[in-house]
Amino acid sequence: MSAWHVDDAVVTAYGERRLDAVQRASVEAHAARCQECRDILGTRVVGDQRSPALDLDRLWTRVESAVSTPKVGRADRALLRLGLSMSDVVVTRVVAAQSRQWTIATTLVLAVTAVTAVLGPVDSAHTAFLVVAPLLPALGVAAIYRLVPHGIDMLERAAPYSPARLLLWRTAYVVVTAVPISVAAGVAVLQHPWAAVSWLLPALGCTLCVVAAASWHDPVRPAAAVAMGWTAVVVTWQVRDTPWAIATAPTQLVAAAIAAAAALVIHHRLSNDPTRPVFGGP
Amino acid sequence: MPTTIHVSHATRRYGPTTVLDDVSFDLAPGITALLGPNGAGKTTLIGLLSTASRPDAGEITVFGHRSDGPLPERIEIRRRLGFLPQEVRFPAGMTAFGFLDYIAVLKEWDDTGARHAEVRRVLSVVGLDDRPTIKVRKLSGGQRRRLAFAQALIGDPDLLILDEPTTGLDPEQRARFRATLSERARHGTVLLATHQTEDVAAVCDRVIVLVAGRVAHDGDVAGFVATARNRVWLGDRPVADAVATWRDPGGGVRSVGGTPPPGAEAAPPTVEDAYLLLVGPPAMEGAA
Repeated sequence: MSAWHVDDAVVTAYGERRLDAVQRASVEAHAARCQECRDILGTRVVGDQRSPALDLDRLWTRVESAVSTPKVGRADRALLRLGLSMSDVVVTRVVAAQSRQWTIATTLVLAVTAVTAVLGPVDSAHTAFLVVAPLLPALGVAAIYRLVPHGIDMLERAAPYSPARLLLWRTAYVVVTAVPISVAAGVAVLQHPWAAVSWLLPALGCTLCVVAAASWHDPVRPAAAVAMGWTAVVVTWQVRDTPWAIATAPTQLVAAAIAAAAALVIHHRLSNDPTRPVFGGP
Repeated sequence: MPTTIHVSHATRRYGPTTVLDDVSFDLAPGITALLGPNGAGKTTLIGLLSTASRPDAGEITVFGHRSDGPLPERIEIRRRLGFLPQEVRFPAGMTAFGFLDYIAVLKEWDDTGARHAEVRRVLSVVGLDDRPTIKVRKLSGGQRRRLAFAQALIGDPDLLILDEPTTGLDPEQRARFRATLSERARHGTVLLATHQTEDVAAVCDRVIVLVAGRVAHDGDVAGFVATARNRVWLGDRPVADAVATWRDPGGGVRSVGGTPPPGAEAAPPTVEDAYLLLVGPPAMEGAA
C-alpha cells in the first residue's frame, strides 16, 4: 500500500464532485484498501455525495439488484420506446411465455396452407386460407385463455389488476403475432396484394366479437360460434361460385359494422371497469 | 376484535351437486385452520372468499365488501388479499424473480424500483433470495411451493388465504413456514386449508372442519382436541371398533375411538385424533 492518504482538500473535492473520473477512481481504489481513508471518507462525505464504492451496504444492494433483476431485452426496449410502462412490459413477457404454443401452432397452420397452395389445387388453398386467416386471431384469444397455467389463472382472478386489461393484452399479443405472418401467407396463397389483405376487416370483426363476449364469459364458446359462422360464410361463397366476395365493398362494410359494434360493446364494458385506464399508466 | 370475513348461509352448487351447504362463520385476525377430507368443499369455499367465484345463495363479506359485489368492491378485497392456490403451474421459461415480478404487477406495484425491492423481500422471507434468476423448472417441488407462497406475501396483505401451503415442504422448510405464519398472525388474518394436522396444532388459534359441504366443527384448537379426550387408547392390541389404529413408537398400539380393551390406557389426544373421530373412516379415503 502506498504512503499516500486522502487529505482535507481531496476529501472536500471528492464530496463536492469536483474530481474528474480518473481522480475519483483513484481515491476509491485507495479507500477500498485503506481502512483509515475509508473511515474519513465515510464520515465526512455523506448522503448522495458518497461513492457507492465506499458504502458497502448500498453497494451490495446495487449488486444484488443488478444480479436478480431480469435483463431488459431488445424486445422489451422496443416496447418501452413505443410508450409502454415497465409494468406493461412485464405483463407482455408473461403473455408471450404463456402463448408460445399458440404462436408455433399459428405458424404451422399458415405454413401448411401456403404449401398446399403451392402444391395443390388453387381453389382449395384459397378456401382454406379464407377460412383460417380471419379466424386465427379470434381463436388465438380463446386458445391463450386456455393456455394460462392452472393456478396462475386463479392468481390473476384474485389480484386487483383489471381482468379486462389483461384480456386486451392477450388479444394485442395474438393480433401482433398472427397478423404479419397471415399477411405473408396470404400473399403466397392468394398472389394478389388486395386479396391478401381483404380478410383483415373480417378478422377484426371476428376477433372483437370474441373479445366482447369474453368480457362476460369464457371465450372458448364464443370463439367456436364465430368459427362456425365464418366457415359457413366462406363455404356459401364457394357454393355460389363467388369466392372473391370477401374483397367486395358490401362484405367489407358488413365486417366493419360488426367490428364497430363489438368495439362499442368492449368500450362499454371497459368503462364499467374503473380500476385502471385501458392503456398507458405509470 | 374486528371481523375480517363474514360468511352467512353460503351455498354453492355445481349442477345438481351441492358442494357448500348453508355455511356460516366469522373470521377475525389470527390463524384459522380449515380442515376436511377431499371433496368437503374447502377449495370451493376458498374460491368464494378470494372473489374468484360467487355463492349461489347466502352472503360473504371480506373487509366489509361483498365478495360477489360489483367489480370495484371485489377489487377492494383483492388489494388486501394474499392468496395461495392448492396448485400453481408456472409459465415455461420463467425465473423465480420474473414470476414474482409479474404477480407484483398484478397487485398494482407499478413503481419498478419498489416492486423489485418487494420481490427481493419476499424471496428472502421464503429463503430463495440466493437464486432469484434460476428458472422455475429447475427448482425442486418444495422450492416451487415456497415460491408460490412468496407471491402471497407480496405487499404484506391483511388477509392470507392459503390452500395446502406445506405440501412438499421438508421439516426445516415447514418450521420456517410456521415462523413466517406466526409473525403474520400478529397483525393479520390467516385462513389455512390443510391436511397437515401438525401445522394446525403448531400455529392455529381456531379450527373449522368441513364435512360434505357443511361446518362440522368450529372452535378453538384446544377445545377441538378436548373432544377426543378419553377416546384415544394405548394398549397391546388394536381396538376392534376403532376409527383408526396404528403402531405406537413406544411399542404399543394406539387406537382412536372404539371400546377400549382391558388394560388399555387413555392417551393424550392430538388434533389428528379429534379430526379422525369427527370425520370417521369412510371420509378419510383419499385424504392426503
